[in-house]
Formats: sequence, structure tokens, C-alpha cells
Amino acid sequence: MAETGLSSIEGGLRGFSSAELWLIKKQSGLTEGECGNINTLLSHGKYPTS
Amino acid sequence: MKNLTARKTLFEAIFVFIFLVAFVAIAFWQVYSARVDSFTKTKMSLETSLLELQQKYIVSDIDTIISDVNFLTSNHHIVDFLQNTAHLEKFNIIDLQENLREFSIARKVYDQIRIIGLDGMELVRINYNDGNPSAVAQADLQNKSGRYYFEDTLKLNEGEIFISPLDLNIEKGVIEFPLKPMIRVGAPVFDYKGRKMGIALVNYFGRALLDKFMEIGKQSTSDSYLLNSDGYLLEGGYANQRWGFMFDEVDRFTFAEKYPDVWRMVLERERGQFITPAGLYTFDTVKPLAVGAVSSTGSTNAYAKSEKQLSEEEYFWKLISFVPSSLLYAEREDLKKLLLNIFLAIAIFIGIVDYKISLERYRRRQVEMQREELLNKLHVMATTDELTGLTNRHNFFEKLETEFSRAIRHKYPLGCAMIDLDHFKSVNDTYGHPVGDKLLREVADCVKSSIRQYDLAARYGGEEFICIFAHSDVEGSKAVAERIRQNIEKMTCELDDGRVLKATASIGVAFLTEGMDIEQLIDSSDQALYRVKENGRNRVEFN
Repeated sequence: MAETGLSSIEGGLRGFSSAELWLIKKQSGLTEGECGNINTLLSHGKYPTS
Repeated sequence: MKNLTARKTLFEAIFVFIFLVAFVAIAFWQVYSARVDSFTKTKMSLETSLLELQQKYIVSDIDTIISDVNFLTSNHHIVDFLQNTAHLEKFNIIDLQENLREFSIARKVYDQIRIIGLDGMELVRINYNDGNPSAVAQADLQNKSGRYYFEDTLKLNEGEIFISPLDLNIEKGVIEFPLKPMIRVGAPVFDYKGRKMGIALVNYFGRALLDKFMEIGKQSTSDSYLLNSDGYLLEGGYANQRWGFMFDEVDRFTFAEKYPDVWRMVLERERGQFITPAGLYTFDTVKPLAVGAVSSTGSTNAYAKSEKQLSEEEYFWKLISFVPSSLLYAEREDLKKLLLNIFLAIAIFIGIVDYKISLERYRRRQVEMQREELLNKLHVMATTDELTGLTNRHNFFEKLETEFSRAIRHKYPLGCAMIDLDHFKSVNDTYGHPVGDKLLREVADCVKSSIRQYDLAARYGGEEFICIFAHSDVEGSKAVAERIRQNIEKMTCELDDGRVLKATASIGVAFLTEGMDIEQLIDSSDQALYRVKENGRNRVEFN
């Protein structure tokens, strides 16, 4: 949701926009808490790399 | 801005100073003019009064002399005496001489009192002798048949009086020194049958009259002048300028020749006043000849006859008073200096007060300006996103509410676009936050330059932007959203090390439909954005 936009840069999910986070969650089946863990994201190939 | 305030305050200070100083100057000028006018009028009035006094004194003195002569010609002792001149031995002449001597003592103004027979022979003569009058011995009496005053008096009719010109006494053919100004006043004596028997004649001390004239004149700072009808000075001025007509010197002084313009004006009228660059002139006229009195031109030659008889109009003296400009305007100059000093003091005071007030005003303006600047800064800070310069989220919602209400009220279309940069996290993680911030700034500039004048763009979150397309139908909004996407795609962000970053954005657009609120509109655009993300990013989806 749009209101979570701020939390996306303030909270544990720093760096993802709400839309990107939504997509990660949808594509990986991870919970929002799991998305806050970089290792989990990396293991699912969801952490953006250059 | 600071300079502008300083200049404005300076102009105001100068204006106030000039206005107040001009106001004070006008007030002072009014006071000065009124006072100067009053000074001049007072001076003119004083001179007129003094001259009137001098004129009245002279007229009164002449009247007294005439009365005295009338008294003599009607005196029965004198008439009896003249009737008996052929038999003087029968007449007690001592009594007559004593009477006249007492008269002389009482009057004190007659150098000589004479009874002259028809043949010109002095019959009785009382000399004043500086206050010790005495009758001249018979042997010393003279024949005056050749003198103008005898001739002119003897030919008069009953009731007529001869008044000689005011001139200097001549003794034995020469002018007596010290100078003895004299007026001879005489009248024929008639017996009871109307026969002319001789004349009574008095020599009046002109000095008494002249001294009184000058004494009155001393009441003022003016110079007094007494002139005869030919413009010769009788009194006033320097001693060597007086009695010019009595002397034969080539360069003898006449007021008429020395000051022809003044003399012309004095002759024009009996009395008056005028101011010339030299000073204030006040003049009056004395006509000694009363009704029935006659005079003659007299003669400086002791034994010459008068050139002609003078009428009342021809025989006059002019009284002139003169106040030089330096005295006439002395008070004015003093007042001018005084007022000027006060004025300067006030002007300086006004200047200082004006300066202090203006300085205070300037300081207040500075504080006000700083406060205003601070408020503006605060407003900008409160409404603008610091990083991108776009409207911030809070301000966006305020504006959106206004726009939303207006769109519902006026039923015009409203579009909302949610823009999200693709893979922005990887930019931050790879290049660092400063590069991410730079990219965000350039994307914001790109969004701002891609929308229309009435559209609104704001930073919504980290790499999220939101746009409101007012008065924009579906096609118009689509076109603008697509333009934003394309421009971001085309945009390049050059880094300090020369590398170039590219970015893409996913845009979800929603349109206001009936019954929708703000949250639903934004939510709808969010849904569209998620679809874009799901469908591969760098696209525009519509709801």
C-alpha cells in the first residue's frame, strides 16, 4: 500500500519501494518479515545485484 | 533586499527631514515676515509722529510770534508814541522802552524789538543782550529805510504781517558770527484814524526754533533736516552744509542738487513717506505764512530790496527725516540672525531625531525581513522535499484534497499516476546513497519537465513519485504518463567518474470515477503500478 512507502525507507525493509516489495513477496511467497532478511532474499535470488 | 530596505528607509528619512524642515522654515518665514513688517511699520509710524510734532512746534512758534507782533501793533502805547513822534519831548519814551524791555525779558526769544518810523528811522530798539535786554540809546539808533524787511513791511495794509525768510543775521553789512539764524516779523502800525504811522518789528531767534526742532528729532535714530523752499539746508547735516544761500561760494551745498530724486518727491506732496535703497525718508511741510501774512524772498545783501513777494504757497520749509537702511533694517538683521540660529538648531534636532527613528525603523525592518525570510524558508521546508525540490508528501495531500473536491464539484476529469523507479535499491547498494540521491534528483527534474502546467508532481516515498493530472481525460493522462516514462528511460545520469546511469520507471495510472475517494484513487493507481511491476516494469498501466 502507498502508506507503507515511508516505512520502506525507514524500517527493516529499507531500500525497497512498496511496489517492489509487493512483487518480491508475491513472486517468492515470503512474508514481509522474511523479506527484511537479506540472506533470505539472496537465497531466493530476490536481492537486487548489479 | 537589504540594500533595498536601506535605500527605502534612507529615502523616507530624507523625505521626512525635508518635509519637517520645510514646514519649520515656512513657519519661521511667516514669523519673520510679520515681525519685519511690524518693525518697518513701527519705524515709519514713529518717524511720521516725530515729524508731525516738529511741524506743529514750528507752526505754533510762528503763531506765537505773529500774536506778539499783533500785540505790539495794537498796543496803545506804541500807537500813541508814533502819533507823537514830532513832539517826542512831550512823550515819556522811557515808559515805552521799559514796557518793551519787560516784554523782551518775558518772551526771551527776540533779539531785537523795534519801532520804526515811516522814514525808516529806528525810534525804539530793545536789544536782548543775552538775557539783559536794554533800550538802545537814541544816538545809536539807525535808519533802516534801505532794508528789505522795512520796505516789505511798510507797504502792507492793516491786518497784514510780514515774515522774513529764515536766514542769518547781518550786522553792518556782514553775516554775524557766530551765525545767528533770524526771522524778522513785522507789521505796520496804524493810528486810530487808520493812518499808517510806522512799523513794529521783532527779530526772532531762529536758533530756539531750530534747537527745538533738532531736540524733537533726537527722539529717533533718524537724521532731521529742515530745508527752505529752494532746497537749502537750514538745520541738520554738517555745519558747513547749512545756509548755503547766504554765502557766495561756488560749491555751496543744496539738498536739492545733492539728492535731486529725493527732493523731487518731497516737493510733490506736502507730507509723505518713501523708502529708497538708501533708507526711509519721511517729510512734512511748514507754511509759516498764516492768512494775511506775506513774505518776500529777502536778500543776502543787507541793503538790497527783496526780489519778489512770496505767497503762502511759495514760502515753505520742508522737514525731512532720514533713517538709513543700516538702521532701518538693523532689527530685521538681528531677527534674521536669531531666527536663522533657532532654525538651524531645530533642523539639526529634527535631523538627529529623524536619524534615530529611521535607524530604529531600519532595524525593525531588518528583523521583520529576517522573520519573513525564515517563515518563507520554513514554508518551503514544510512543503518541499529537500532532496528533489518537488512538493512533499504532506503538502501533496493538502493540494490533492483541494483538487479532488474541485474535480468532484465541477465534474472535471482527474488522473493520478504513481511512479516507481525500477530496481532503485540496487543503485543505492551498488553506487551508494549519494549516487542514488543524484539519480532521484534528476528523475524528479525529468518528471517535473514532463508534466503540464496544471499538473502536480510530488515525491511520495523513497523512489516513488506521484502525479495528479487535473482537467485531464483518460487519453490526456495516458499521454502524459507515457511521456514521463519515455523521458525517464531516455534520461542519462552521468556520474563523477564518467560512468553513465540509466533508469526506468513503472507507472500506474488511475482515474477519478463516481463515488471514489482520495484513498481509493491512490489505491487504484497503486494497483495499476503493481501490475506494471508484475508485467516486467518500465511500462504504464491504467485502472
